[in-house]
Amino acid sequence: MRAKPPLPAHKGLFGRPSVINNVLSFAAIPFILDNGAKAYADFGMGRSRGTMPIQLAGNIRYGGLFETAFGATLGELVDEIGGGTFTGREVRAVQVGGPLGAYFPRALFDTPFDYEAFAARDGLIGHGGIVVFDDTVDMVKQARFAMEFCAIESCGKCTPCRIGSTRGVETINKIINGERVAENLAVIEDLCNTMKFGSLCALGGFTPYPVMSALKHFREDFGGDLGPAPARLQAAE
Amino acid sequence: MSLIQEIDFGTPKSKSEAMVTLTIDGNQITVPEGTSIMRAAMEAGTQIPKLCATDMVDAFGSCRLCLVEIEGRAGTPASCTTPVMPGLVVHTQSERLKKLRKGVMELYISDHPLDCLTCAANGDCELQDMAGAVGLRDVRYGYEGDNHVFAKSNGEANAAWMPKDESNPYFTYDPSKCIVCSRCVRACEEVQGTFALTISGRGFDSRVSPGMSESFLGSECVSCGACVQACPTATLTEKSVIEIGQPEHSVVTTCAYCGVGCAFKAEMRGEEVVRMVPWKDGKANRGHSCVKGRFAWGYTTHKERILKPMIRERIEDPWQEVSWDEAFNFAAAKFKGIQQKYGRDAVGGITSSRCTNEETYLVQKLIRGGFGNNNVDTCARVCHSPTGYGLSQTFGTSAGTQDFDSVEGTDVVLIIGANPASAHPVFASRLKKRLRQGAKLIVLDPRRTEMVESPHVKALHLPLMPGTNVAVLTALAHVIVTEGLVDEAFVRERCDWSEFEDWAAFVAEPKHSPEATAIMTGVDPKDLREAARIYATGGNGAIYYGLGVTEHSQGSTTVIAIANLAMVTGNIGRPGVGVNPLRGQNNVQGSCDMGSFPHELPGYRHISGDAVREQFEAMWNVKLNNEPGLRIPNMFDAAIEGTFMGLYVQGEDILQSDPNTKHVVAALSAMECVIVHDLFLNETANYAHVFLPGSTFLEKDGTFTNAERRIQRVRKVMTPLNGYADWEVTIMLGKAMGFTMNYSHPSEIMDEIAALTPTFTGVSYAKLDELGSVQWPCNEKAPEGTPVMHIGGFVRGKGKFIITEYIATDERTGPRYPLLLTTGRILSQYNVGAQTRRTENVVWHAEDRLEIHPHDAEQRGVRDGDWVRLASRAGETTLRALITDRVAPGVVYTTFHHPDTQANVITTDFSDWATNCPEYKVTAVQISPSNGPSDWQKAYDEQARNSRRIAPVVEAAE
Ligand code: SF4
Ligand code: SF4
Ligand code: SF4
Ligand code: SF4
Ligand code: FES
Repeated sequence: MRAKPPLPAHKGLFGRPSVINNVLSFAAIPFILDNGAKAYADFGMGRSRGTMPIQLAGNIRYGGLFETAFGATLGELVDEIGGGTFTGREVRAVQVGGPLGAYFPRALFDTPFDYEAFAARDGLIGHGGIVVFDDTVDMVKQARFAMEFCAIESCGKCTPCRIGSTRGVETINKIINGERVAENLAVIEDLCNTMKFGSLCALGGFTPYPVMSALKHFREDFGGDLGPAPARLQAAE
Repeated sequence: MSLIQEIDFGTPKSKSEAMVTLTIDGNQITVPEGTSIMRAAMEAGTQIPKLCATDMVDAFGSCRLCLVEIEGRAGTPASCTTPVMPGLVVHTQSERLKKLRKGVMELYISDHPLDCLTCAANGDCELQDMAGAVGLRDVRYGYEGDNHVFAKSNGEANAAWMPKDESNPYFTYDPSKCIVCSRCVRACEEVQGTFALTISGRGFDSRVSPGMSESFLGSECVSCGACVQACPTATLTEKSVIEIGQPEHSVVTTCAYCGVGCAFKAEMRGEEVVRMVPWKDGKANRGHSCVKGRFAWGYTTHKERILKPMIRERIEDPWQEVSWDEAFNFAAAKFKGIQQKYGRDAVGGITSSRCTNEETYLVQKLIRGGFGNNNVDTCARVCHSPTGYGLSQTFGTSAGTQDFDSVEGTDVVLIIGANPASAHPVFASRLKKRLRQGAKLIVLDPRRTEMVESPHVKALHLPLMPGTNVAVLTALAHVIVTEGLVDEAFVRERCDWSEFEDWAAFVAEPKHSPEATAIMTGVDPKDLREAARIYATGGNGAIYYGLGVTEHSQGSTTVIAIANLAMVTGNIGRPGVGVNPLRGQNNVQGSCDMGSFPHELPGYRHISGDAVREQFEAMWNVKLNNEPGLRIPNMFDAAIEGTFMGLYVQGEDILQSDPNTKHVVAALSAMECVIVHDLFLNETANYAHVFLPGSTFLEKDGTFTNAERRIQRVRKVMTPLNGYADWEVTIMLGKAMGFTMNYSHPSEIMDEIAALTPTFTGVSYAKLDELGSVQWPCNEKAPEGTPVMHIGGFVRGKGKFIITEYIATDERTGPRYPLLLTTGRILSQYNVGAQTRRTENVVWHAEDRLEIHPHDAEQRGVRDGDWVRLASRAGETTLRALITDRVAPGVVYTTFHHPDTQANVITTDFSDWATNCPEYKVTAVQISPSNGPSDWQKAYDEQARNSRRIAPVVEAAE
């Protein structure tokens, strides 16, 4: 991982200008060539134009790959297209954008699937992955999972990610064990800040999204002065 | 005096000429385009916290301490990797930045021992400094988590912990203190070009690894020290610092090993050297070093150093320690007696390429003025006299045309008979850097040298048979002329056209074509043609050559052929091109400049020229002999004849470094008084009657002149252990002989040199202190010296093409001696090894080995590591074999760093036709299996041991 700029378009593979596209771009090309740019751009909303292939996964009744125009709400995607959870229990959290995406609670199901709208609510669209969890999910463990994921994937070049992800796992473990929860939550918040603004690439930079969104929307799962983990979870175990 | 603190700008200087203005913390600053924000801030006096950046290597952006805010840009970009842009408004400190930096430091320290008080880096640790700079007060993660710090965690062995690697004799690697900033890895790649280090593993498991998780000593590491210098923590630390502690003052001085002339800070505690650190402002080395200058200075206090003068009547006697006065009187009486008995010309002296300019100047002054003859010569004879001859004939000066910086503008590099990776390591690193940027490399050498095999460098190697340089170079010229690649405009303007036409007609003869000469040279004609085309048309072409050119019977012809090539392609007279001899010893250039040759006064002016000689006579207040004196080989011949009986040898081991050891032994044994002035009882001292203890470069003031004509200060950092600097000893010896030389400081000697030598008129210690160094000529026309010569025209007027007829050496192979021996050097040892053998460098080269191709070895039943007998027409010796295909079939190769080997017993009397430079590089030999050292080696060893006895001092009873 090297610092940018220079962007790959100026200096990429072997130090030469390089074009980097992902499959999404290639998939859009036939339609655009067939129907013209305007027809494609007519889909979508705001600055997010065209369509997006969305991967519905996790605890969901109708999982799979769906392509739709930007602009549908999160609720429409999960409840109407996806048909709610597979277990039939209540949807509690939805992680949007991949393993480093934010967790959204039901309360945010009115968010339109649009880059700016998600960003405005501290979330991201990322590669369009949507993972659904029912009410048996323990969000503190989901937060720890994000740090673990980062620790496993880290290339180790920059400090916030290399050391931060490991310390993140350790600190969340302390929280799970009920050790000085309030102080350790403050440490996690600081760590997320350091990782988000300090990391060299998106791995370390985005790991705070799942962690901080879990903490923000599901604070009750982190215990501490709010008491032990809710009985709902203990029952589920 | 205090410790010189060099500013670390964080990222390298930009070479752009376009300027950019921006605002940093409210101050406007203008810097070259391409400068990082970090460097721009530092230039304005603001140090942004940093750990992974250092200005010797490119920005990397990994530590994330150097974040800044830029108005109108989102986020907090790293200032080391963000280039300046016009009109940027940058803030280096804000609440947000403070918090981020503290957060990063907190993470660092959560995986770092809290050992500062007992740590070797205490007081010189950037991690410690940064913890202070960002105001870290607390590590809230605790120290129980995963770490690389403790051997045991929670009672169990910690798999992430690694013990110290102390395998390198000069520095240790303590992984528990590593912050994985990669500065070492990048220094090894970018500065040194060895690529010995990498980061193994990833994520939290990342760690510095020499090679494939080897020890430093077991890896490709060449111990240049660049990584140690780059390391911001105690992880890589000099053992001397661990042992002694941090230095308190430093003095800038010049390395006394090779002709690169690296500038170092001698970092001291009192009179004890703590470490030698390359100086970033050193214009030859630009902050880099090699294992010798950086680490191998232990010889200066080695127990075998002789500190008291000694005398003896006969070389069979043990040495007698005496006072300085006794030694001087004894020597003076002997020399005067010899002159009375055999005539004024029966004594002489040899100046040293190791000593300072001032000391060399004094020795020749003593000989010319005090002895009254011109029997002065120097060991530069054994290496680069053909350079002096060849380049002065063609260009009009006898030195290299460029500075080392010039290589940064070179597009094609042609290396002939040199292995800079071993003999001029710091230059090699600078060269390799340029090659990795895309410059092309052509190597003409019998052996596949380290240059050919450098990582990320592609070389066109022309493996020629030893002794055929002239044929190959003429074939290159043949291709250039016959394929129409001549730079005619240059030749017409700068060179003598009719001489050129004669020369061009000569080289164009079909018998000089690559195809016709391939039988002799062994070089593939296709490769040779390609090389000629690349050199002639590839942009700026620069030639670097070494002893593989000069130490041949056709050494001078080869130098001329090189000069021809440069002229015919217009590769002379600007940066990036030129003809550059890589001079072996630290002051070879200087010793030649200082009038060390029997026919030349300082500044290469003939002794018979009345006007010049009279100037010296007036200044020295003595009448000088206008007849050139004896060269070294003539001195030896005269000694054997019985007409040359006294020799003063300063700082050279002629017995070991001159060819045909047996002949030298006979000559020295015949003399009545040999005075050796040296640090150690060297091999020559076995035949000496007076031993005057020498001083090291750390113990004296003076100047050295490196291979780029750069005059640099040598500064005294400690009192001479032997009592006197070498220049003082020469003065006292002169006085005892009745010749007065009055100087209270070497600067006065330099003033005299400047007054008498037109190319030195502008040189003074004051100017050297001010500018750091100057390259001669330095005079009214070039008050700040001359980095590149022959700009706009040749010093001699028109460049002179000279025809280079190839004459095979008389040293032919035949049925009895079917192999060609060629000699060379390796990195960790220096010259005859008197210094380096007395340091830990021996771990890399405990003995000289004979390299032999597997095919030749098999034919003779020699296995790797076997003792073999190496015999030539001149003599024989034994050493152990190293089987390798680095050498071509028919060629064998060895070094001559160890006296036991006596490789020069083998080399012959043949020498360069113009200058008597000996033919070390080609000797016909045969090898056969053997059981151990030869009779000669044993007898020699016996004599040496006998001769080194020092009589016990009898204390007078009270
Ligand atoms: S390396 Fe630096 S920070 Fe670490 S213990 Fe040593 S002095 Fe302290
Ligand atoms: S000492 Fe030099 S060669 Fe060895 S690892 Fe360090 S930088 Fe590389
Ligand atoms: S050894 Fe030193 S320079 Fe290398 S990564 Fe570790 S701390 Fe950085
Ligand atoms: S030996 Fe040569 S390359 Fe090495 S440090 Fe000394 S001057 Fe520099
Ligand atoms: S100094 Fe800029 S990221 Fe380390």
